[in-house]
Amino acid sequence: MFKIDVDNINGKTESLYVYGEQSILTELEEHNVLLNHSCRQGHCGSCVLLLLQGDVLHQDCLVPLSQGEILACQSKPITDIKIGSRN
Amino acid sequence: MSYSIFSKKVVNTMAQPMFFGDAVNVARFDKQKFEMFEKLTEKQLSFFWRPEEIDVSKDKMDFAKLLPNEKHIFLSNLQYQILLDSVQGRSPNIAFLPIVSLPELENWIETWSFSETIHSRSYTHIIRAIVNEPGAVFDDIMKTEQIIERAESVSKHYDELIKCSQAYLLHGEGTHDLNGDKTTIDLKCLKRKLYLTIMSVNILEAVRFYVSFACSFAFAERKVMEGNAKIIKMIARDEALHLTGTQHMINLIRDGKDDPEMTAIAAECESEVINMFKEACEQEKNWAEYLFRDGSMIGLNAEILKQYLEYVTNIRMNAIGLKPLFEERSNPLPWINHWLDSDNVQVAPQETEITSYLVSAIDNTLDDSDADFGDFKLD
Ligand code: FES
Ligand SMILES: [Fe+2]
Ligand SMILES: [Fe+2]
Repeated sequence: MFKIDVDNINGKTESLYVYGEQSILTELEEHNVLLNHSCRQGHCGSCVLLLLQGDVLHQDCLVPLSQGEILACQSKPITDIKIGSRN
Repeated sequence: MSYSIFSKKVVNTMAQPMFFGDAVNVARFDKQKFEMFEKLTEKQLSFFWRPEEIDVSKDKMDFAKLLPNEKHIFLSNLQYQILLDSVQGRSPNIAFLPIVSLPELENWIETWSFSETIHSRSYTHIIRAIVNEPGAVFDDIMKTEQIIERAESVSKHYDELIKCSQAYLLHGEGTHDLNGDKTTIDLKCLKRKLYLTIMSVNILEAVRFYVSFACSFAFAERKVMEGNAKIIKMIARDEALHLTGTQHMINLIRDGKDDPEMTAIAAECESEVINMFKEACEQEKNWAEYLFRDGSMIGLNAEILKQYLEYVTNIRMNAIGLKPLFEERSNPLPWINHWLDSDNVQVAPQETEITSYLVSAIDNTLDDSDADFGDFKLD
């Protein structure tokens, strides 16, 4: 299992434990941490987050990302991670 | 001015707005003002699929066993989708191509509209497989008041824009006699019609499809009509791309990255747009009532579908920078994401492998030379 430390996303700061089989977006939703999103396919960029610690496996996407940015709908943790909002 | 399919004027497309600038002449993609549209095109091409590749033979047996109220839900949804894709299979081309000014956007519009024609063909594939008389299902579309009513709402902005932009391209600005109707055409009011049309298309693809997506996936959650659900999943995947296209146009306009006059129009139209979302959501709720008039289906009822509609409407408004209309809530149909998420989409045979790569958190103790680790390809 991996630990996802949520650092103030939509007002929530908490730790979730996940198997790493689903996207971070889905994990957050299942733990009631609501996140902006739209396409769920890596096209729109609504679900962008900052990866503060750890590594994720990221699927290809259409959105240009800066260093340390990930799309919640396109990434899965492969270590314990810490994530936060971009702004 | 009059429209030419290949204007001889030399233009710098990098300095053109998305629409109502100079017409595109050379289809060139060596330099692009908005690269996102080419990325959308490439993605759409990689998604190419054919309905015939999907086996729907088991659906015939499943369909025969459905309860009458479930048959009503299933067929009505297909009929509604047929209407929506009939509109989308032609109208982006007819409405937007004559007025587009960027080659990469022109290319996206054509690719987008083409993919809708695949959706249309897939409905015939499904209906032929499950009923003995496909003709009756199609003939009923034009006889169903609830569908025709909504045909009006999804086509009225398109029709207005097409009528006025054709007059503009033929005669320019001024007061023209359009079939006995004195109509004043000026560029600003045309741009307004364009903005509202883009919005109405966004609502069509981003909200209106989702009741019937939910029903198709709900059947398949019970392991019935799974061939249909596979097709609808491909359609939903395409639609997620299309709706990102209109969202992108809207956001470029709203963020002041395109035509400043369009940006001003977007601000002026804000309350009208909010009303459009409200109205569409209301209409779709009525549709849910109509679907379930003879009874619900396992896993879905009109109430929960209406909550889902509010949830989807909120998300779509958010994505274009509008304040959501409804109370923030979690997804009332969480299982639907298994069908909508990219990881679970079966890749068509011709789709190349999905590439993934490792992303690491920025470590401040590393210097810039370590930065390229972020592009490390795993497969
Ligand atoms: S939801 Fe669109 S990129 Fe993640
Ligand atoms: Fe479509
Ligand atoms: Fe579409």
